[in-house]
Amino acid sequence: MRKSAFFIVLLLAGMGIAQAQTLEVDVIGGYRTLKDTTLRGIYGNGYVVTPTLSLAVSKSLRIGAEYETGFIRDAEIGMFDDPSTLKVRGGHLFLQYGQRKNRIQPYLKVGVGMFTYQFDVVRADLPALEVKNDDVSFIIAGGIRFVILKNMFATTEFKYGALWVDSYDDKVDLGGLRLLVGIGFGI
Amino acid sequence: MDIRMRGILAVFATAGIVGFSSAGGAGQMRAILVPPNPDYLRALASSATPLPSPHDLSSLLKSAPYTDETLPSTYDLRGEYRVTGVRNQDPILNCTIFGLYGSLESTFKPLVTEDFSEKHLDESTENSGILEANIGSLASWADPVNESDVPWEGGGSGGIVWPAVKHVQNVVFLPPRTGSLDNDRIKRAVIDLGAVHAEMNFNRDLLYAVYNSYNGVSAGTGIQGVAIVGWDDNFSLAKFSPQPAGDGAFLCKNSLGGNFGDAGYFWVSYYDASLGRNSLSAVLTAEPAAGLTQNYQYDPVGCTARLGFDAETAWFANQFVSVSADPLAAVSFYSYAATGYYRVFIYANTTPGLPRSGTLVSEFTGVLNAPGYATVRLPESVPMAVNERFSVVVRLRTPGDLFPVPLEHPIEGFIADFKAAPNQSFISADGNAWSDLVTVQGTAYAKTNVCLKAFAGYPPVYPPASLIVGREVNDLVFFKEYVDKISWVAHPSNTETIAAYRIYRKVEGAGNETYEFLAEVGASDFVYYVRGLTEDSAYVYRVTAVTDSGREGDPAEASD
Repeated sequence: MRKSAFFIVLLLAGMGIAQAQTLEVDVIGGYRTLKDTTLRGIYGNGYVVTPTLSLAVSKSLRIGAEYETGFIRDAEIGMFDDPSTLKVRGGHLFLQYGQRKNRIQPYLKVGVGMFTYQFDVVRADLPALEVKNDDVSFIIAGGIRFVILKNMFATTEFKYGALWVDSYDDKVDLGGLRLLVGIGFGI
Repeated sequence: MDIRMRGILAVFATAGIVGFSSAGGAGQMRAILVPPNPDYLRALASSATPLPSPHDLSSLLKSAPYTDETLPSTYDLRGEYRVTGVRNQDPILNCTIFGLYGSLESTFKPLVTEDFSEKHLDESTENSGILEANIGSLASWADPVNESDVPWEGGGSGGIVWPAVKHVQNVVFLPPRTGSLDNDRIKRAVIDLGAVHAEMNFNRDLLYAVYNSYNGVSAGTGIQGVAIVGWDDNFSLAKFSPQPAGDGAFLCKNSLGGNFGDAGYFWVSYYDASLGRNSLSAVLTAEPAAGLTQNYQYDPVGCTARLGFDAETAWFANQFVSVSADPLAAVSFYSYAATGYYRVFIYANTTPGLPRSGTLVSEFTGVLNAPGYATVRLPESVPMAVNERFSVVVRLRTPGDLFPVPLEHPIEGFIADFKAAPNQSFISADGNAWSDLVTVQGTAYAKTNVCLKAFAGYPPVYPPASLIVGREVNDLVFFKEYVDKISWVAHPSNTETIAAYRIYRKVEGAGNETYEFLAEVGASDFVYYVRGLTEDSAYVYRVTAVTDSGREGDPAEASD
């Protein structure tokens, strides 16, 4: 998985460098669900913010990188309501395809995410429990870009990323849906 | 150790009428030593063990028949969680102590579960096949100790002096059954107190395995101690081989392991020729060791004989010198009558040899409603000073029994270090003219003391009741934390306010000296969680109650 992700990243980067035309920066943020029902029952859903940098490699194709952060959830867990924290963040490399029509540009985005998740529990009079791991997963997104000015646009995006990781005796999905809005600029 | 037989030639050499002068020369008293129990003599001659009571029980046999119409037709202590586990006496055949502890442990249930060391009791007396000797050890606070400290299959106490973990303060004697249907005393005791220790002739080969039933036809001295834990009046005679004359059987707990009978239990016909017929049956009850602190006594061997003055009433006394400032709280003595009427006097600052000298600091009366060993509490504790000589004087009337004075007295077949000294025990026919036992009739009573104890201390502090340890899993999604949940309830018998509970833990299988303090919780907390355990960890826990005066009670023990 890691090897293939790395290969895709190299491929996208190569394409971007070779055919770069415009560079865009945007920041999107919004609501993020937590797929695993057990964990969602404990921590609930949350919010993320995602700065993005992308290059147009053709009129309708872009490659880019984004970093999603902000999903930090505190909750009491277990029999003793111990304070605990769940953090999920990660960088994504993506390929985005979209056709602009007037000021509107719907697009689709696929990519690979390199996530870091961290889970820790503070127990009274006992050592804290901590998990910190990385994992790779795919993301898929769709959105609409609305061009406000020549070099300024607004974006709304619906993104899904799965993140299956090992729990104690099974796997849990730390991924989820994101409903994001943001604003960007062409450079 | 089992009895080493010495023959019976000199048995009860002092039996018969003994005349002696009062210590003060105030007149003659005619004291009579109780005759020996013929069954004891027969058993002694035949080298049988265990042995029945060494002193005559005819006064008890003359008791009025006891019937109780309110008793149910069937009863089983197991259904009320009032029995402890089945033990296995192999490889040593000494069943009396197993029957006794089957009784004693049962009386703590269901609130507290105990497992006492038969091995230690066996070591405590050379006469562990005699009920009175075992009661002597227990009443002297030499026993019981924990099985985990001195296990049956271990090497013994190893020279360590293990303190008694409970104080046996009362033993109810049940007279021998006079007939196959003379069972109501036993039944009532089972319901009211717990399992009843009884002895019977027993041959494992005669167990009728189809129904786990037993009907012995051989009378005589019992050779197996069992604990009666229930009965069934309708247990069919057809289920026995040989068939008895009628239905009905006692449910008995044996000490031959769980593979014997029905998981260690078997049914003994009411018509069995020996169960509870030739010797005293008994129920033992005990208090927490945290309570009475000092046992003033001259009778660690036990009550081996009695004497009287050809009357149902007699006086006896002991003088003690206090070794602590704990207040005097109770006295104990034996009675071998169905009912005993007593008056107790406590004198402080007495003169040696004069039990009723000094200051009368307490006087009270009472009634013993059953034969046996009884502890009676003083109405109010008597303050004591260290090195203070005090007397306990008892006037006891035992209707139907002419030998009210319980004695620790050397008798044949009873191997023990009998010893006595002047200014310890005294007897009197009228409470006025007193005789020091060791100074009368030459050497007849030179090693004899009165079985009369005094206890200093405080109200008992009972352990938490219904202590349970359960292993639970704390699911933290990415971790599983193993947790022991310790729960208990307040013991209903505590009379002092409980201020806190303390929790201790040791690794399962480790010595009791390795218990470590874990926590102290409030008096209203009845659950404690031990966290951070691993899946294969195994611990034993103790929980104690602490009074608001700071006294810590006996522990209750449970494992995960």
